[in-house]
Amino acid sequence: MATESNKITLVSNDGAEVVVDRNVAERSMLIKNMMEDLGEAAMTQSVPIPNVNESVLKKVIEWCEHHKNDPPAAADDDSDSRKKTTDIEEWDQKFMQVDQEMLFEIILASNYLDIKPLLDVGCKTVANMIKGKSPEEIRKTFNITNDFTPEEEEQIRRENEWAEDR
Amino acid sequence: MPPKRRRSSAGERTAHPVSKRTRTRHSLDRLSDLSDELLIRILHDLPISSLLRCQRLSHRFYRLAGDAQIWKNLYYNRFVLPRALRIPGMRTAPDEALHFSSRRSKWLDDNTLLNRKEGEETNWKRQYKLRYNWSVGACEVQEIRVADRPSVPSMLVRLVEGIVVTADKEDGLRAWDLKGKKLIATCSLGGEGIPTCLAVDEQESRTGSLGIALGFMDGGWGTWGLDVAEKVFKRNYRRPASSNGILSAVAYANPYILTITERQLLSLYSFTAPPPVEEDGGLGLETSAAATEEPATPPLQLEGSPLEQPPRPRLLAALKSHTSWPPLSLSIRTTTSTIIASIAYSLPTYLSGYTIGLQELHLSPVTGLIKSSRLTSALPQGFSSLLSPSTSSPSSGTSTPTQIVSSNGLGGGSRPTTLSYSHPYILATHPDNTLTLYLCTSTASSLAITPGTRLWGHTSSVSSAEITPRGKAVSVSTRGNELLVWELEGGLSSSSGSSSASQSNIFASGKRGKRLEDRSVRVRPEAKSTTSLRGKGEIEGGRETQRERYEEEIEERKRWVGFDDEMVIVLKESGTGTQALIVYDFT
Repeated sequence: MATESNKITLVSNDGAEVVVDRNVAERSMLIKNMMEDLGEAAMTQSVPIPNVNESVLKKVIEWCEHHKNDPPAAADDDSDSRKKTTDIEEWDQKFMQVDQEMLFEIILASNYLDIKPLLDVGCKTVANMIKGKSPEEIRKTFNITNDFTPEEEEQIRRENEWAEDR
Repeated sequence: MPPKRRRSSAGERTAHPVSKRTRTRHSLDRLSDLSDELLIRILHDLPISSLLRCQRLSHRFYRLAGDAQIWKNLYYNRFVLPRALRIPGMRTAPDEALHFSSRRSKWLDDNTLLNRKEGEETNWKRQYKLRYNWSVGACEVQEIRVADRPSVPSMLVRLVEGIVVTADKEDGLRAWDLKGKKLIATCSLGGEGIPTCLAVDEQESRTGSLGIALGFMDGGWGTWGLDVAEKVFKRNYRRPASSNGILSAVAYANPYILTITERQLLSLYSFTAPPPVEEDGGLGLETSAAATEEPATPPLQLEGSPLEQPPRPRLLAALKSHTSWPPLSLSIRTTTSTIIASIAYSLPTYLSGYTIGLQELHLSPVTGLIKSSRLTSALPQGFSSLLSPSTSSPSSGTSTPTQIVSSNGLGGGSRPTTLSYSHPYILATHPDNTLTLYLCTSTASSLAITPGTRLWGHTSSVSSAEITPRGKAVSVSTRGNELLVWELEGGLSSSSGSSSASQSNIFASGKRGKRLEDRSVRVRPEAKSTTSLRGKGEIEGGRETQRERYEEEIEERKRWVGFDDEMVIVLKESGTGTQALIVYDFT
């Protein structure tokens, strides 16, 4: 499978070239579609990935490498076939132990490259950072600016009281 | 503007120039830099409590965490899917058929929420909250004082679409808006006599007008229209007094009116123009052979054809019953091909006490003539084994859920105090703290009622109960301020409002009562959320307060009145004679 001709070259937005197995790169639906459009030409020329820098690209490829044999994702994105829980498999958990900057870069990159399972892992990781925290703690974690007046916030709190003690 | 909902596949380009940012970025709000759709994706993964807390973060999060797609999904998973799984065969269906998808999921009877009329969008968060509050019994209680003195006979009350209609001799016909908690229209009944029964036509409630039918002590009746926007009552028609006696019940589904007198004379009227050939009456009416169960109950007998024909309405049929006993419940429902007028009544049987019977009159919507009439009753199946003492003797509460037959025999002993019929359910209340639920199947060829299913849960005599077609029942007991909510379609029932709470499973629809799971789990007696829902004398449910509670009961009688999707109202008459409506608001 991984013959010389099955390698493609990706170029990050900061000019770094990354050589990767085609089947690994095709975890990205964006790249996969591009390959299909380009046909043979894709094997000879490098593929620019304008929205992703080198370190993030390498990180994403690391994930694709590990998951290259996963079954393809469900076609119907609208259905909630993703598991509802925020469970993340162990390897992915370790993989996601990065600083916030990298975490969000991975989310954006996987969204741009259209790698749904990685996007899910990223979103769940963020969800886990939100879960169980008070609004103030969440704001602190992500530097969110509170644009409510205290009265407004109190009103929303009361509006949502019904589910607080679940 | 709402975010783009479609998290579509191919290369979604986020507009944020993230990779261009400088090194100071760790102090920035990286989360809020994400696009709306990515944030919604993240919020999708949160449990509800966290989701709601996120609404307090900022204006943007308030909007995103209230996103209809998220809440529709939650609603589906919590309220629709569990019911779908109970449908036979569904569990073995391909797995994905059950997973949430806005396009192809099975939504059962929640289609009304899904397919709104033009321009209406379902607020899924609000719907979720509403269902959730019903399921845990959380509600807000408020009182509206409606009269300072007792009225005899007692005030008549109906609730439709957030509007309460009351009628009594002194204050006439009145309408109250429950949202605003205020009186919106009155209409004196000074010259009309004493109202004895009240019905509201729900068919046109969405158009902002309600049809109201009142029956009077003198045997006459009349119809009124309430224009909700204009806040006025309009008298449409008044039928003069008749010699047939007090009207005890009325049902109204424009253009049909069904009345019954205390002496069991049933009359069906229509406001439509008479058909060309005026030859109605008894010919078309015969009790069909549907009543095959033994012992056969003498059907309502045809009394006579209409004689006088006032321009409107016409009397379509009059029947006299010698065997039906109050309480009874009248209803009219319309299908595309037929109008079905039905009378549910209690029926004494030999040895095994009371059961219920149901007669249906089928009318053609074109001619208004009666096409057929049929009769059925839920006879205790133990009847066939009449000689064996086990079925007819009231056993103590040891019957297991599978022994429907004997539980029915047990229930038959006491005469129902009230009867509520909303197709396909018939619910009877008994003085022995229980209710009996019957499931009625009415097809083109047959009419049948399943044996009753006992519902336990009340700790004192059940004074009233009512059902909606959506499969929810509310019952109230005479003392202890118990208000129980029953989810008849196999879901949970839980108590609400005040004092004690219980959960028990009723049967799953489609199982036809064969799978009664009476779990009767008592959950913690503290009603959740705002405990201000307790009235002054209402007790937390301790044993030592029993007596106090009893005194309370003497002082205040509660009569259950009605409920809709959002609230329950109870009419309270205190010892001093003041009357108030208690509103349990689940929104």
